[in-house]
Amino acid sequence: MAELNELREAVAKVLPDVKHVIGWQRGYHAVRSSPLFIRNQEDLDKLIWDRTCYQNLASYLTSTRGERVGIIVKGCDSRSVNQLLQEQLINREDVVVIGVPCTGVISLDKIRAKFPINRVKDMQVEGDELTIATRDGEEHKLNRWDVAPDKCLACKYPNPLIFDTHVGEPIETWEPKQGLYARDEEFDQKSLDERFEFWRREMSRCIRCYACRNACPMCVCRDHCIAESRQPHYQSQEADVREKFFFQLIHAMHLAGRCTECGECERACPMDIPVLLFKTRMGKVVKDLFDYEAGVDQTAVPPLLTFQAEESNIEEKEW
Amino acid sequence: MSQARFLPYDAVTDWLRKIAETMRVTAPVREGNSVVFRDFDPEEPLVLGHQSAASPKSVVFPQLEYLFRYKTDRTADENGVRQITLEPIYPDEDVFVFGANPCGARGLTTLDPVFINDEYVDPYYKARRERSIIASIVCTLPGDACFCHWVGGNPNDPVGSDLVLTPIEGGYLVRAHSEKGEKLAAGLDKADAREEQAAQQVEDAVLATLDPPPDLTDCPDVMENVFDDMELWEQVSDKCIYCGACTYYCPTCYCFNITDEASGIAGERIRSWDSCMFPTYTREASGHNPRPTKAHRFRNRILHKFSYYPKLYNRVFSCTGCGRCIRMCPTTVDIRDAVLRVKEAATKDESAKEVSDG
Repeated sequence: MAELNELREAVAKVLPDVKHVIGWQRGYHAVRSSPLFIRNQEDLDKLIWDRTCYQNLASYLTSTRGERVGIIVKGCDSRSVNQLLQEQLINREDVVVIGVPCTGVISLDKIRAKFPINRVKDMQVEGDELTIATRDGEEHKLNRWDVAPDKCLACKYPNPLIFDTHVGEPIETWEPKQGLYARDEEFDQKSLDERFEFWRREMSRCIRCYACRNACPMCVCRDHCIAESRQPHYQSQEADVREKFFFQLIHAMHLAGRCTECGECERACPMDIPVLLFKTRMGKVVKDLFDYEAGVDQTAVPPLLTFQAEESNIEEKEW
Repeated sequence: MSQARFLPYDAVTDWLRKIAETMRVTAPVREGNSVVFRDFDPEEPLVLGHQSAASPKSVVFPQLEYLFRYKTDRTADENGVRQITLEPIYPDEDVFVFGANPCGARGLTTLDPVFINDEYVDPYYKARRERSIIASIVCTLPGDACFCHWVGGNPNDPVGSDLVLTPIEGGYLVRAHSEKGEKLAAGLDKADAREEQAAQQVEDAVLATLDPPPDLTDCPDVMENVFDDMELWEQVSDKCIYCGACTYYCPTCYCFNITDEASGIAGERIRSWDSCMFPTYTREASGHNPRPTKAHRFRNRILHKFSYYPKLYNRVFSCTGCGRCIRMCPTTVDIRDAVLRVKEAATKDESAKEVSDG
């Protein structure tokens, strides 16, 4: 991974020309990072760059539209920036992109599945091994691949696809540990009843806080979301599984061919509901039908935002 | 204080099973990686001593509450008026909440003066409050985001709990803090002096692990000094993505919306959670929104909890320091930092004012 010092220097260079540069700082414990809005040297001193820098900061770009800001992106995050540019949801001249090659981050959710990560003393990293010491005197040794988010296991783009400043040398792209849609394929093995029961149980935990929606870099209706609209009255305020499921399906449909599969929705969910599954399912369909990946090519038009009389992968006349 | 009781760990399931014969029992279980309250099922292992994802607030203030059903007559009378029939829906069950955290239980007492006061009594809330019994377990593992002792609580705080259970060797020492609790615990064996002493040791040991808290007592008096300092509010809220997670998981947040969910000529009027972090929360019929940005909404959330509410209700903070808003926040916004930064800025303003006045 690129050196933190180099990253700090790159941010310092950009800082005079922008309102702020968005990066990461240490959260309230050693395994948790938190976004950092860098406005001055004092803020810059707080900047970190390590495997805890999971959050895709591109989610903030649409709300600062019209102001010039800097942003630090990993390879995967850069796809969201590309996609926002493709859809003209942000202006290229408003954003200074500082790209960092990334060798992978770690998922708090996956660590939490191993032990309740609530009393952290510190974390040591040596190669692929992480040692998390708790305040109770316990030491948990973890291999970082065991706690890597799925997007890292399937990573094809460790290097930023778009940047104004590149920090460090590009790294060699490695063979992904699994396909991006491995989880979907596993899920597809279940029977329809099992799948329905799975979602019924998972969605029953949802409390409609909309962390998934607001964390999504591509979810841009926000202040005019169908979930809260009264006129028209698309969704009721009832808290039953049907309404929650309904919202997720609408969200997934809106993101078909646009979702860069960054996993922010699932990472943000306080109830640990695997909501990314809805989006990767659509992503797989779009990949199969249109051979299209969102956010990879800045000049491309997303397939569902355009029209072709005859799609090459849809055999319309064979029916 | 009344006589303490003892509940052996291996007798918990049977005790709850017996209580479940007469009322709904809800207790924390694991689902995915989350600890959630669910209706008690003797077959399902309970997860006790850990903080649940959502607080037990929903027992008295559910996310969704049907207030009444309505139906409009198909035909009008001779004056062209159609009759509407209303059928109120009141809570009709007793609920025993087993295994809350003291911070979650304390949250219920911050809802009380809002829904039950001299001017107005909310019949739905009142009924649920009267029909619920809360047993909390002394918190022996305060987490990194916990700060109950900053805001008047502590890991063995009995406020809001009918029963407080302290984990000791072999079982829980059970202390009743209300008549309802007393009645429920009456069937349990009395605790002996050794057990009471062991519980005291557990409680003292947790208290000894807490760092000294900052003094927040002047927050209600000073924080509004910086009400208009939008630059400050923008900076403390910059990483917020204004989802409602902090407010929905908070044991003290009580904002709601009321909507009619109609189906043809009939429907229900429902009360459901709302959040001051949502843009629609303050949007007026004209389209004007007095809190147009997340900075405005964040300001409201902080000042409500640490200034407006304590000014209205006995200088108690509308925050129990449970840390859920920090832990559940997708972007790790830390309310502790926000409050300290605002207080610091506000106190600076205060001393500046004093100098200029002098």
